Amino acid sequence: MDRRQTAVNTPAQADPSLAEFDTTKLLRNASRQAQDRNYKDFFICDVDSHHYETEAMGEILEYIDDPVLRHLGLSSGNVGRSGLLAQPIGSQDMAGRVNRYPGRKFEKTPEKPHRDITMAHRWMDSLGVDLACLFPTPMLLLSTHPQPDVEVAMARAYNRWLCERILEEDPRICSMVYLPLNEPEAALSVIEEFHHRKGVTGFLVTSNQKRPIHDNVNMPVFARLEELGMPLGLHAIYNWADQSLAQTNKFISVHALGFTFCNIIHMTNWLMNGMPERFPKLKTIWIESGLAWIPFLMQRLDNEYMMRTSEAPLLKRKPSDYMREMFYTSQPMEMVNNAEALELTFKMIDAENQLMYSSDYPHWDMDLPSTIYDLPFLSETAKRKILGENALKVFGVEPVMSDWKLKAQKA
Amino acid sequence: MQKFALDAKDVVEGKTSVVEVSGTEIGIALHQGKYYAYHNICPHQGGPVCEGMQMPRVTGEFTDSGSFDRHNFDTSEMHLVCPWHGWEFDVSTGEAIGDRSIKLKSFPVSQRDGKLYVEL
Repeated sequence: MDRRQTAVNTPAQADPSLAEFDTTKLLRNASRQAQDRNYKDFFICDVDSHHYETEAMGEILEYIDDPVLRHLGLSSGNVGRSGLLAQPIGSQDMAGRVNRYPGRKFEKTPEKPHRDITMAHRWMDSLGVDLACLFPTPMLLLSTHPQPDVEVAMARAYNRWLCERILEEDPRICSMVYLPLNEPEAALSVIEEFHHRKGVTGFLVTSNQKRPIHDNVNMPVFARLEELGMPLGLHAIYNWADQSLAQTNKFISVHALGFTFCNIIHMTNWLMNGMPERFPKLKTIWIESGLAWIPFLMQRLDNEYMMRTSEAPLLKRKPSDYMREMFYTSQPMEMVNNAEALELTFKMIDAENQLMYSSDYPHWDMDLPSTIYDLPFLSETAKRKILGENALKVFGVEPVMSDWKLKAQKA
Repeated sequence: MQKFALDAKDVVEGKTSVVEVSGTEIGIALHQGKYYAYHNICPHQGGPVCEGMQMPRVTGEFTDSGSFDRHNFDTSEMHLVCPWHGWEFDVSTGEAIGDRSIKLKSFPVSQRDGKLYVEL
C-alpha cells in the first residue's frame, strides 16, 4: 500500500487571497441578505458571538493583580506550552476549509479603535447585527483549569480588559462577563466589581464546573444575581476530558454531543433540585446547544417526574413548564431536512417569547439572521422578538442601531 | 445566452476561478480536463461556495478483518468547500456530499479559441 503523503491543497495554496483577507469581503453575501430582507427596519441583537481573546492576551495579562501570575503569563509568551491557558484540541477550521480561521491573522485593521472592535463591526455590519453580546473563545474552558487561583485571576483580568478596552469604547458591544463559579466567594466579588459596568448585561458560567450547579455553596451567587435582576448565562462547551465524551474519537462527535451534554447536565440539576422555585426571578439563558435537545429533555424529564415526583420535592410543576419559561439562544439551529420538527420545537419552547437569535460568529458553525428571518412559520412579530426584542427585555437595555441602518432609514 | 467568462488559461486544476458575468458571480473549475461552472452561492446559508478550497474526497480504509486502517484522499473526486461552514460539493456534479439531492446551481460551459463561455 502506498503510504506516501498525497499532495493536497493547503489553505494558502487554495486561496492566495488569504494574504489580503477581509471579513467584509468574505461576508458580502450576508450583506446582500441584509439588504434583500430589509434588515434596516429590524433591530437585531446577537446574544452569542465571540472574539479570540488570545489575540489580545498580552493586554489582558497586564490586568492580573497577582504579580507572580502576571509575570508568569507575560514571560511565557501569552499562551501555549508554558502559558496560563491551554488551547483546546480540535480542528475548528476543518484543516483550513473554513478560511476565516487562517485568514483572520492577515486582516488589516486601523490602529484605533481596538482591533477587536473593528473586527466585530465588520461582521456585525455584514450580518445586519446591531448589538452583539461578545464572549471569549479558549477561555470558555477556563472553568476546567486545574488551578483555581489562575481561573479567578484570569476571569478578573479578562473582565477588566473587556470592560475598559471594549465595552467602554463601543455602545454596540455588550457582554455577560465571566463568573468564576468554582470559587463562589470570588464569584460574588466579581459580581460586585462588574455588575454596574457599562455594557455588562449579565454573568456567564461556562462548561463543566468542579461542583454541580446546584451545590449549596453557589446559592449566595444566584441570590445576588436575582437581587440585581441580572441574567445568568450558561454557555455550553465540549470537554473532551469528560469521562463519557473521552470515548469519542472525532471532533464532530465530541462537538455534537459535548455542547448539548453540557447544558443537559446543568439543566437537569437545575430542575431536579428546584432552582426555579428557589430563585423564581432569576433569568437563565441556555447558550450554544442548539434547540433539538430542549424537546428531548422536556419529554424525558416530564416522563420520569410523573413517576418519581418524590425525588424532586421542590418542583410544583412539570420540568417542561419551567423550561418553557427559560431563555435560549438559537445557534447552532438544527434545521437539516425537517422544518416540521423545527416548527414543533419552536412551539414547545414558546420561541416567540423565549428564544434569542445568536450567530456564534466567527466560529465555524455560525448562523446568519436569515436562519430565523426565513422561517415560513414565524409571524413578523415573532421574527422581531427573536431577532432582537427578546434580548432587549432580558438584558434590560435600549436598542442601539448600526450606522448603516440609520443611514438607510433616512435615505 | 452564452456569455464570455474568462480565458481558459486562467483556470487551473485545484483552484476555482470566480468571475462576474452579467451581474452573476460564477465559479469555474477544471477537473480531469473538463470545465464546470457554478453560481457562487451556497444552498446552505448563502456563502461564497466557489471561493473556498478545493479538496479531494476523504476516504476511510479498513482491513479485511474490519479494523480501521487509515484515512486517505481520493483526488479523482474533488470537492468545492464553502468557506463559511465547510459544506462540500462534488466539482463534477455540484451535489452536496452529505446529501446529493442538494445541488449547486450550475451553468453549461463551452470553450472556443481558448476562451470560456457560460450559458446564463
